[in-house]
Amino acid sequence: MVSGRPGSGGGLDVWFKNLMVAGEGGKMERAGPVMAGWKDLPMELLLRIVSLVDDKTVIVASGVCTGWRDALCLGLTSLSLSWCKNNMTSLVDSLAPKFTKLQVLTLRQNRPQLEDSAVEIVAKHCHDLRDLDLSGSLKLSDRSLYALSRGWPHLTRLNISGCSSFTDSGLAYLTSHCKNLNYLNLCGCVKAATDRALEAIACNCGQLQFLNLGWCEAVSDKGVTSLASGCPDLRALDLCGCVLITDESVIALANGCLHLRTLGLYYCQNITDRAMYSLAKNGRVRSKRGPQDQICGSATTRGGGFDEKEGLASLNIGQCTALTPPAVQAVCDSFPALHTCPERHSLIISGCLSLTSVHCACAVQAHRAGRSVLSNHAY
Amino acid sequence: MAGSSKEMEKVLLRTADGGSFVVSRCVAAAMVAISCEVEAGEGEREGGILVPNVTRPVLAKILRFLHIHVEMAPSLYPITLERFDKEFLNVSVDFLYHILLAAYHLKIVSLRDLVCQKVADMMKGKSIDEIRTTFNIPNEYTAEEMAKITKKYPWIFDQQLDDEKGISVEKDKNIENEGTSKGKHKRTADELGSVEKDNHIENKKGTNREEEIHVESKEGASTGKDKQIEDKEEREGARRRRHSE
Repeated sequence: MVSGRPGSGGGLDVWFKNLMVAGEGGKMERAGPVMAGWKDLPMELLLRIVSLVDDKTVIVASGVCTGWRDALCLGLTSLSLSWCKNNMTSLVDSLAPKFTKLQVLTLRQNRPQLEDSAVEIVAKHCHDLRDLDLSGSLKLSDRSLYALSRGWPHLTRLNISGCSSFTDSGLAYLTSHCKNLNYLNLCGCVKAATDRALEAIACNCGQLQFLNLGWCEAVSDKGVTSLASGCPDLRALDLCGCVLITDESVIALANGCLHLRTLGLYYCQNITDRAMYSLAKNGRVRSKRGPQDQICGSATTRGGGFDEKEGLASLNIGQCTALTPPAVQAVCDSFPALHTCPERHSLIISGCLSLTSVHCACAVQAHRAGRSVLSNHAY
Repeated sequence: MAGSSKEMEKVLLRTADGGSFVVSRCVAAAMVAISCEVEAGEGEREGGILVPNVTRPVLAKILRFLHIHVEMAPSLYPITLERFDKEFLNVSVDFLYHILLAAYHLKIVSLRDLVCQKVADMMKGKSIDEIRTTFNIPNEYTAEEMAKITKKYPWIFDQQLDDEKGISVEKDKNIENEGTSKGKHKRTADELGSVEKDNHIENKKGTNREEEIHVESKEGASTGKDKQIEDKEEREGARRRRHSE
């Protein structure tokens, strides 16, 4: 029963022929009505099984028999078509009307294929969508953003990284309709992620927690400061490559986004010690004495005592060559979750040779204990 | 009364088609759908417990699984259990369906998940027609309808081989990858008891784990190129893991 798939040997023609031969003499009535068989598999079981297979097999399974087709159309909530190398638009056109219960859809592309018409079709049929990944869709225009806005007011996660054809008008329009956005990835969306769009995001998407503005070179302090006041719940913000921003942005974030856990400032070369001290100050303000004091006796003298579950856990200041060690050390002391030790390295200082003297508390303690390997350190 | 001796008490289970089995209480209670009755002591009564939705041969098979996994598991190496599981599911595809349904109705989660994984592995990489053949599913569509469907589906089968490798293997949870490899002494299938009639064990040569993985990978699933690559990677991974232990 195991045989080659199309693509080997005779290709699609042979596959077609085999399929047609099997279908020939095909009867309308269901064979073997008395004995229940695999075609009668309960929906819950079929869904469980297809959750264990690749997406291509899921789609194939939906064509095996009417029972499976109905079960999958009613029950499939998550699908990825990222494996499709060509013709993703056609695939979406034929599948979207079937799988109307989709909540998570991944259409990430390595080679841009997707067209606006496909997004419009998805918006028309899949009303439950919460999570959409359109990264790499270079061919899409604002038309898609308008379709998204109309179709999915409940969208919570959107990834449009690399979609360099979107503009800030489309993005602003989207945010005015999709106010429940929690995760937004705009990495590389140079035309879309402008200060104007950030102001719209700040105004509309107050629940935003994760925002990636990597390499959006048009972003400046104006946009980030409005973001800091409009999205107080931000947990992760990536400003890598946003070369225009200055200390004002970081100060605004330090004051406004008290739940920030991850901050990326890679290549933001205008950042100075002033930004670091403001981060450190706001970290210390919220500090409370915790068990750390017993573990790291040295830490108490440095004014830490912050719970590792709060405050910055990851900071990327690579290529921020204006920073000096005392300022960065102050940040490291304020946030116990920031580490320079090899096992938990989360303070990225690539390209800043002067900052190699900065150490987290556990690195200092290990050094004092004369141990070079920290693998058993309980923290 | 000590907990363990209560568990070893015998209960009577019956099926609608006249089967009757005497098993330990803990084994019966593992079928969550009847565990309340077991706890209430129904199994010790004259008529025992009538197990719904299952025939005699299927229940026999399931009780064997539960006997190994519930009663004997503490004294077995994980790898022995793995081998047992693989051989246990070497049945006809129709019988497999009945096992799955029974596990589902009787709420035996571990068996349900085991069979689901096996079915998933049997489906991976196959075409519509191949899946129908594998699972004895009749073709419900007329030639016309098939033509319509297949017109849409070609888009799935992009011709580049890269596409085949692009198939996500994240969801691949092959059982082979789990468990430690304590190769010294392990109970063989013989020690576990005789093998049921309807099993057809493909290859019982040796106790070498790598060989087992190789053998098991032949059954069911597609022998397409990427599956071979996956098998090779699994074997190498297993080899690496063994070396690192």
